[in-house]
Amino acid sequence: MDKKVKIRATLKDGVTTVKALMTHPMETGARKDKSTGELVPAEYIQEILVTHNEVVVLNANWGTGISKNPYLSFKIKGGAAGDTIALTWKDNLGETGSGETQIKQK
Amino acid sequence: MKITRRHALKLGSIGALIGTISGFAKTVFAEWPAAAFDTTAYEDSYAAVTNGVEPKEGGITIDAPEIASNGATVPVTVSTDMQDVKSISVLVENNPRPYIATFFINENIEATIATRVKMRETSNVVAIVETASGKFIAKQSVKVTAGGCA
Repeated sequence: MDKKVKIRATLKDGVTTVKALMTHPMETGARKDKSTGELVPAEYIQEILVTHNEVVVLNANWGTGISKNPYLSFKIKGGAAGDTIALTWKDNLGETGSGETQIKQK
Repeated sequence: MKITRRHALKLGSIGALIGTISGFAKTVFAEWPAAAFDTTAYEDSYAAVTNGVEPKEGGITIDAPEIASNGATVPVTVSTDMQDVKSISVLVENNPRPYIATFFINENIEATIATRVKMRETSNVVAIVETASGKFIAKQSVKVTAGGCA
């Protein structure tokens, strides 16, 4: 089941700023559960794909070093109000999450 | 439902579109470099990211706090004015697994990426930018007062 990604895109002075917040534990596999002393299994996002009107504009490979509940922000040259920006992630367990938004003029 | 020619065409084009999108996503999603992300020594991570191309100094701005009170979430922004940027990679020298991430961008994305990384201890944050004319590197020291389990 897809998990929701919070995503926002605002256009100002010809530049669209995209901000995305994912909900994910980003477990490295090296952390111990304090109550049981057992290692918490790795669970982290490995891949990110961002599309602008269904054209891939950014993709990323992530390791375990990205913080829990990952934040990502970047800027698109141009873009128009109403354009669709979508982000999809996939973690090491094969789980996916996605979110999309329309660019808003500021 | 009776399928008319019009319907068939419509269904066909939707199918083709879905096929293209998922096909593309699959090829992109198949490239995750496990060996590079598993490296535990900075030298190895560095070698995996630079892949034999010695990066030149400069041209990159790393915006990270000088002192981070919480190593679990250290905000890092990497930006550059260079042209034809293909990818931006982030490493943290003293982390147990120093290779953090690589962002591949197309020509419509400004070469500015902001995210949050984990840092076990005081370390240099390293950014490696690949452009059409080679690789570039910059470092910034971040002092961590309470480490995040990286």
